[in-house]
Amino acid sequence: MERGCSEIEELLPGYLSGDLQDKDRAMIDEWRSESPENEIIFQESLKAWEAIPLLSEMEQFNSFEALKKISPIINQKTTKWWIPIQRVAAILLLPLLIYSGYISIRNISLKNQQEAHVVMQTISSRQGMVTQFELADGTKVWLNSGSSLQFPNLFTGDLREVKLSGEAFFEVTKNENQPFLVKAKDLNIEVLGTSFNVVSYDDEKQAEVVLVEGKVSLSSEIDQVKKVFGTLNPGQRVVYLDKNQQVLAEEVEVDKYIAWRDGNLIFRDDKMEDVVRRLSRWFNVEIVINDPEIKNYAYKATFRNENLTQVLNLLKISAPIDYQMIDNMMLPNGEYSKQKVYLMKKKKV
Amino acid sequence: MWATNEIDLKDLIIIEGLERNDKVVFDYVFNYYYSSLCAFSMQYIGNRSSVEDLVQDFFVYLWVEAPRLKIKSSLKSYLFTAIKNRCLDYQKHHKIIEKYRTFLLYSTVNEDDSTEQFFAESELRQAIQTSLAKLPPRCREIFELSRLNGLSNQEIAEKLNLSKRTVELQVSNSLKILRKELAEFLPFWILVLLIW
Repeated sequence: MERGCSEIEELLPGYLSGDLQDKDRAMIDEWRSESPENEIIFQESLKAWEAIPLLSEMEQFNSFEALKKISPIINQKTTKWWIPIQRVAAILLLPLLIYSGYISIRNISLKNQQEAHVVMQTISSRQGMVTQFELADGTKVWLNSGSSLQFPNLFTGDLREVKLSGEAFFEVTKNENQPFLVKAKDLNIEVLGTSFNVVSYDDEKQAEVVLVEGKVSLSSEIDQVKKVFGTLNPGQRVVYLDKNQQVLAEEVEVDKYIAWRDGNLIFRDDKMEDVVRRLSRWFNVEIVINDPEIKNYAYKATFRNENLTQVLNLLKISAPIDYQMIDNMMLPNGEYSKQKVYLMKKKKV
Repeated sequence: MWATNEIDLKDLIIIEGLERNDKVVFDYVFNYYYSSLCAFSMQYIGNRSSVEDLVQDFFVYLWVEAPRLKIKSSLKSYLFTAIKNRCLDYQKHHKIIEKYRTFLLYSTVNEDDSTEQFFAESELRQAIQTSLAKLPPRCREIFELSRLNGLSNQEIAEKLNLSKRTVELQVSNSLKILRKELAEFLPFWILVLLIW
């Protein structure tokens, strides 16, 4: 039996409000069971019928009053330890500064005792943090995330020698009688008094030096075979390639290479490959470029204190790049894998 | 192959804010979802004050645990699913057997937790207002008197000096229009259990 849909729809409000007589009610029930389309019409009607009462129900719950009620509980339960890493880093920096102060004082007292016990020590900078400290001679060191510096508590002899793994910025106190030497893998960087940046991560096939002011001389030493490369001028950047022990020099804007000291990341037409390398170090994540096409994309940006998600979102907005983040996963040995980020070409909309 | 669902940018920023215990973000989420989560819980627990306690407890939990939660779904489906689970626990604990799960405008949360099934008060209001605006003025007035003020057709007829038949036709006509409008706005959340 075909019934006009409008006849049914006319009866629906009565059905939904329960006012309908049994005969008409049975007719609607039958119509509903006739086809899935009818049932959808019914469901949609029910939805429209109940929407306003549901809204009224929601309106009776006052979120502002409720929030006032739980806010004091929440304030009590806030523990300062869960504030973001940047702030924690700042707090952790303090003991290190105090520690370095302690070392300097101890050095003075050791000198007074004229008992120069030279002890090698190592300071490491944890992931996502920049550590600043002073060496015994007053040289200031900024140690980037995931880097470590080995140095003596006291500089004796005719050379001030330190060993770097990772990235550091040095502001070397001038002392012409006792040159300062940074050993970074095979590379030796010798200076009198100057400031410069060194990048030399163990898992990378190159090391680089950027000179801000003064003069440094570069040489390499492998199996006691010394190779002298010459001196570097301010504003120059030298890349040393492990594979052929060659150096390449270029003029650069030094700012972007030393901005990390203040927690900034500066990119100036850098290849996405380099951007990714620096971001993964900075945030201690694994970033994988899925599309070879975007590897050479030149990127320009400055990040200040943004967290990983914010940086990725900015990347997404300003470049034809999209990303997918995968959280840390528990490995079979119970450790957690690094957080992974995949970059790919943005799909055209 | 991805471990996470598609989460939109706004969600990412909000979740990130929750994770670092940003009170401004927390307040925003609270004000945005509180009433809808309460109304949603009402279908499991018929008691207003129990419902409010339950939802408030959950938000305290959310604040304390947020730094460790790692929310992987959309925020909305996380909130509604979490509240649903608390409601079911509550039912178990208080031996409420489906008594209040009468007819649901919200779908019962089925396993594919698509976000479209859930909506906050402001979203529902927006959808209703936009659809009501499509009704002819008289039609709308009558429908609002019926559904908003809860008047019977007879009462509306007397109030507006119309025949009861006219009111009935206007109401069913309104429903027909709203059904199509709202179907677009609030995607197909299915109503499963009916009282009759």
